[in-house]
Amino acid sequence: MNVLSGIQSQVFRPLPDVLRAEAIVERLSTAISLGLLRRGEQLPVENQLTVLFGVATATVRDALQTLRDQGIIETRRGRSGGTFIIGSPPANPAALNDRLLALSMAELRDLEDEQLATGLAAVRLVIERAFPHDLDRLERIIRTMGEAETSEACMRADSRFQIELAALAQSERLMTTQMRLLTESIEILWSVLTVETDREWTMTDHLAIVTALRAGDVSAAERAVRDHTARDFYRLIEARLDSLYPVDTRK
Amino acid sequence: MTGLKQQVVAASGLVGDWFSAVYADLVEMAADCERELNAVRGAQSRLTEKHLRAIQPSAAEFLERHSIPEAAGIVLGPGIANDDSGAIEWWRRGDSGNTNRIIFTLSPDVAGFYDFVTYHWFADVVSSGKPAIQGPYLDYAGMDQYIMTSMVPLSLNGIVIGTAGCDTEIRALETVMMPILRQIPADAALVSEFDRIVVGNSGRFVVGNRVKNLTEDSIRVDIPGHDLGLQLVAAPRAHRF
Repeated sequence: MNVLSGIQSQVFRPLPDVLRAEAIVERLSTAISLGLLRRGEQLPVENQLTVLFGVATATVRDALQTLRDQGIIETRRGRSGGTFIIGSPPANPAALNDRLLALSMAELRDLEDEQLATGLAAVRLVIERAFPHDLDRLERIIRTMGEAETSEACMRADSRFQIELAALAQSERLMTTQMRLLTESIEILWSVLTVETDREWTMTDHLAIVTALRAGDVSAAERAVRDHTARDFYRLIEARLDSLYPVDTRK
Repeated sequence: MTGLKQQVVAASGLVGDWFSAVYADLVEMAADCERELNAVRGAQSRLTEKHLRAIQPSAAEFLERHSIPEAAGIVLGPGIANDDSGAIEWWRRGDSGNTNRIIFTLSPDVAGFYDFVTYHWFADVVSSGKPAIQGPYLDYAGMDQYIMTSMVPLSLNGIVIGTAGCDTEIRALETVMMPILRQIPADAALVSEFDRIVVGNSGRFVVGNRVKNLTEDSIRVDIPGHDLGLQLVAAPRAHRF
């Protein structure tokens, strides 16, 4: 067989089972952290998970066992049995920091580009499609962030704001893209932001977006999304550089 | 010269050293390839695509000597080894010290056609006979990665028939350049032509963007060594947010 060219050789690289199990754990943990899966909710049965994730039964079992050991899920026997979400993944700043450091500048910028493209498309469609009372929902989320006392709570409000924006755009595909982007970046983002220093400007940015949407002002909405995205990623990039290439400031 | 200027000049020296070492070995690799091509085609006057396989040891040796570049080889223009398309003999570093040959689609009527002849790294190197660098760019249908391509002319018995060079992933280049740039106590970036940022030392200068809105107190220094159009740009630190 010829050696595959370019990206193909990466695409078809075999995935070790252990990595696949870890990927499932990470996917489910992130979904629970973001509130996409809620406490008390039941997971699909094992066979279904095997098909959905496209992995072997043993891989799904390994992943579920890890989540069980972490006290995140619980499996009950009997007629109303099944696997249920019972806890939240513990905050793991070290793991989040590793994820940030593993991203190159080019990857961070590319993530920003996609986040920006998605945000711009969303506000354009929201202006076309949303009603004023839809926008009240966004304002409620901003108020929730105002009451947040931890960066985890800020993160949840931030992610709900962006998911709601995609939802108001009435686009399932935009929503899917937004969720994927959030699972990739929002936990990392709020691991470098703090309630004291960053909650205020995040709320101000969100409010600027809502105000522009209410006014039906496309260019103001786009500007607000652009500013907000740039601020988020500026902080991510600076945090990564300071951690990976510390500069002696005493000089 | 101000203190900052001195530090930028010093950093540009380190950046230049790194590129000079790469380009010196690319020139050597091109000479090795010429030798190998002449040896393998023997009395046959014309090169064929099969002959090109002979340059693998040269590409592999280059990749052994330089750990940051990811792939190396030669590129011939249309009509040299193939009647109507070009030819690319390109080897990528493997996981276990081996090299893998990368296949490119060089016929225009097929999806995924790699139209390389207009690229700066090919057209300008062949016409000027001088080394060049291109990037950062998304090498669609080529490496399909975000890379810099470094090329020097490839000659056969005195006639330039194509280019010899290497591809370097941006994320790999960042690991060598960032420590140098972080020494500069200002917002600083290595830029290629059109002021496109290759590596920047802060959130103000991010790869792929173009340096703009520079104030008068900014500093611009050419990277010494081969004239590749690379520069270091530095401006007093300004927090954007």
